[in-house]
Amino acid sequence: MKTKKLTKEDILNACKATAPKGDYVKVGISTCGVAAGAQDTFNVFVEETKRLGIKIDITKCGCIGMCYAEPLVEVSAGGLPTVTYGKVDKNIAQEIIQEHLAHGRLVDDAIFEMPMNR
Amino acid sequence: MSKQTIFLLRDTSLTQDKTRDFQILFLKVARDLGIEDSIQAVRASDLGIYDKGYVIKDLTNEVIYANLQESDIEKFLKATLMGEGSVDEFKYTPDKCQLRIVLRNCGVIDPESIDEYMAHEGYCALAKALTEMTPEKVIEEMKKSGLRGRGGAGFPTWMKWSFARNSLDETRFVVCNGDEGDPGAYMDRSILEGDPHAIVEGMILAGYAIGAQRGFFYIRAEYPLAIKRIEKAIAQAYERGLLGENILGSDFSYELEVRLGAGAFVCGEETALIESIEGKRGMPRSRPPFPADKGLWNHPTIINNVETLAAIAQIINRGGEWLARIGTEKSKGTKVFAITGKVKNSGLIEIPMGMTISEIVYGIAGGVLGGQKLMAVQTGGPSGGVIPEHLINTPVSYEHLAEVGSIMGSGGLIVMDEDDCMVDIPRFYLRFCVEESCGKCAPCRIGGYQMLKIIDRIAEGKGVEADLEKMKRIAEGMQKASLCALGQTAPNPVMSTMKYFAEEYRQHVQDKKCRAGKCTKMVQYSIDQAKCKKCKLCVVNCPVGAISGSREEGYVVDQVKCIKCGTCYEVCKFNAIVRK
Repeated sequence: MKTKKLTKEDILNACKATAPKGDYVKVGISTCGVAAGAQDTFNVFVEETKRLGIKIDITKCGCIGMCYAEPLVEVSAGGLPTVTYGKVDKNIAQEIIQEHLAHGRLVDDAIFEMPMNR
Repeated sequence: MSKQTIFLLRDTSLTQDKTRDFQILFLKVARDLGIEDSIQAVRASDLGIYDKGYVIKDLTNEVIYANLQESDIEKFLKATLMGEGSVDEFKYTPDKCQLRIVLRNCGVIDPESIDEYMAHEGYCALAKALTEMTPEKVIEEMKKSGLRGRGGAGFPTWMKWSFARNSLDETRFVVCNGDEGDPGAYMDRSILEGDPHAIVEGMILAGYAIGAQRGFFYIRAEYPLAIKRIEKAIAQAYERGLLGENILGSDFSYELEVRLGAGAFVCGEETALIESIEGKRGMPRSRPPFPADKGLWNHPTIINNVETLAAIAQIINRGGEWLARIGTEKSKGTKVFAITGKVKNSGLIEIPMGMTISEIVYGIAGGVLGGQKLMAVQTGGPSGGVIPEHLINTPVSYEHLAEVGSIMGSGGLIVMDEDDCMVDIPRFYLRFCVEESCGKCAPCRIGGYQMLKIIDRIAEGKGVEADLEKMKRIAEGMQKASLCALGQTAPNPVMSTMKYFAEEYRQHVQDKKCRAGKCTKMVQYSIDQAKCKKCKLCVVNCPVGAISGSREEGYVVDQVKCIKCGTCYEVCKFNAIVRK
């Protein structure tokens, strides 16, 4: 497949296009996350949402920096504010799917935040 | 379902977690007020705020309230949901927080997707530079920004670039130094893995500015995921015409490729890195000539650190003055640190220059693990020094850190508490440098080895008074005569601990005592029979079976078998294990 070469206009348009992003689950998969089990967590999300018929974007991202709380998962779904879950092992991943994705309730004792500016 | 307001609750005292009780009470009050359906109260694990009592974050409106009491709940709910009264006095804005410029996309975008990067202002800087700016203008913008090399030495980036730009030799190269080797540092890896396109863009911009034809990523082979993602990013950039011939229709053509380092620490030194890319053994060259004049295959070469390159696109996008407004007078912008050691929240942070070490450790990282007393903070890895507790209000900048005898370094920040021995720590770093010394020059090869022998002797309780003086002399020789920074800076951890923790060295040398119990040759564990409750916890936990005896006769430690791991000391609940 041959991809079209970009022009300046393409790049500037890409910056401007702020397409509203749908619901998503983002799993931090860098070496640090993988070492903490992020790949397993990612797989649970993919398999379980498929099994339950929940349609949601599940993507990978880099390290957000809260190493003590890896694996980290960012969830934006069901009209709820975007939150970051930490120490998401297979069980908490299940809980996030059952509670947050299926019923629109945030999961207790799993949210990690750090104050920052971007 | 009606729209809910979501509250995150958290008790922020480090000692006990009472959040659950607080949540039950919170929901009860809400029920009494008849508004339980319009709220969702969730227990958070960590809000990055500490020692502020109960904290509530209104997630829907992004407001934080701190220092609340149980009795304030009713007032709080009435004010926030029913519009009765006000709780503005509890509003809280974290005064010290991170500022993410280099890490802006890390953890936000999918690193393997060029489209996501482009949706976050990706390659805009490249388009702007290639169509609207001359290479000189790009360098001018870098000069305005005041950006200095983030690899540790802090050389002004624009100056390096203009040396290469003004060279008569037209064949020029750009190298990204991704050979990160300091123990406890992983900033570069995280950026390479989290936002590879930003570095690719930085590399192209650097190439355009100095007029290079080729660029190399030098990444250590221990970072397979980083290599994979950079290679993917380069391939995507080629596909879209952002690399190769006549980029974006301009006259500028540029090639990028990845070279792997085999994990020698010295290859992070720029001249050794050049030798390594050329296919030779990684050993430093003598300077001058500097690489910006004669580098790769004797052509002008600029070598920039990953973090430096990651900042460039932002500077071009927003202008040099924008970056120059952040930071201190001489150190501009932000710095990424990897905080590790005895700290509550280890992790990767980015802070504006000028923030103090104490603000980083207590404000951002949540303080020392287990509420212990801070002993010192180590920056700069094996080339840096320790900053003792009484100097932790030192602001982070190239100048201030050098003033107290440490360096900015690449960004490792290791927190130490009272259980760390200030002879053992520099001994570890010195051994690291001795092992990693390439052996080319004598001061480093021989001096380092001799220093290590002396500090080993001190740690084993065989030190004599004259040893300290001898170490100082060797250190001075190494600092003055070594060929590269590895040897020049290897004595730093020893020198700075000798300066700030002289008493601890004296104890090791004269009293043959190690306060922290880390220098095992000087430590002996025994059991105080008067305090011992015969619970056998130490017997069960000893990994080598060195504790024996019976309930009737008491237990004793077999000094021959004992490996001095300190497990018995830690598990004993009655302080019956004596460490001498």
